[in-house]
Amino acid sequence: MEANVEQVMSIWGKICGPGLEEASRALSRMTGLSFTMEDKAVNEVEWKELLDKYDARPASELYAVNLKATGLISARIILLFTPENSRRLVSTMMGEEVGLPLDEVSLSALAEIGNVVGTAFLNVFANVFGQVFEPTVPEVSQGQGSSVFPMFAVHQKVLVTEALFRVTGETLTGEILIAPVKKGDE
Amino acid sequence: MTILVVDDAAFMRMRLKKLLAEQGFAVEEASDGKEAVAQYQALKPDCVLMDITMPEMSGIDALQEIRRLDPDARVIMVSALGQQAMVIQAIQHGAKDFIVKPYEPDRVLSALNKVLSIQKS
Repeated sequence: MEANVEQVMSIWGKICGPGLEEASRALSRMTGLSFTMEDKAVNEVEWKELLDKYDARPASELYAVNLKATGLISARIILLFTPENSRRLVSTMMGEEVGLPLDEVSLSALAEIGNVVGTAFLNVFANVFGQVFEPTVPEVSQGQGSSVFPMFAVHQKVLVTEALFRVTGETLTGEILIAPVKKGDE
Repeated sequence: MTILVVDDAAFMRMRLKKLLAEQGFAVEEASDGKEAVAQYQALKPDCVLMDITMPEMSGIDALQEIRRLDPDARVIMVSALGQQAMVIQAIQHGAKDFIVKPYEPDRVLSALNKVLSIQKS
């Protein structure tokens, strides 16, 4: 049985805070570092609006970690970072300065952050609905503006969370996009 | 003792290698299930730490193949949250223990010590 997407979006909007708390705990557990994450802003927008926003930015190079989830509904979870923020986050996680473009190990570290954050959100969501969600292996892509995004219908609703990552002296921002996807919409 | 670490994510292999090397283990790596089977045959490690979700050959398929080659093989599966069904499948196919990502280093070491204490027949 598929859930109502509007209802899911509404619930998802309310669990961003707990989702980020769960993600902070998981990242701290994994790295032994003190991670805290909080949501600065949560907005529901249409996919087209989001594409226009990213394409209009002057410095629009991005790293995107993209994973799918299946369960009560299908969803896409995408984490977005500027190259510099990706580099700082990965450097902290690896305990050594890494350079740009990110190499294989650094890309895999960024994918793992996406994996942990995405799975934490799914875990909180699963607790709310009493259903298990299965995430796919995260994929990292790098490119200009909307080229890093998957294809969605222009009117697809997306939940955009502007997240603040704090870890051992570093504070940086990233965006987390969550798009519940009806079968056949992708 | 030699541990074979199998994960398609280079970062995860790096973390495990560092942790295990610090504890005095010799560590070998494989980045997918197919390579894991080949490495197992060649190296006969004392234990395998294997991710479930990997390209080429999944961790479950590789586990079955390794257990076919060596019924006493000691394999610990590494799963993500939400992969309970696959963990059960892995245990049914002879995995000795499992670790859920993201894991704490102590959990890895306690699983490893427990599994390494199992006598081979």
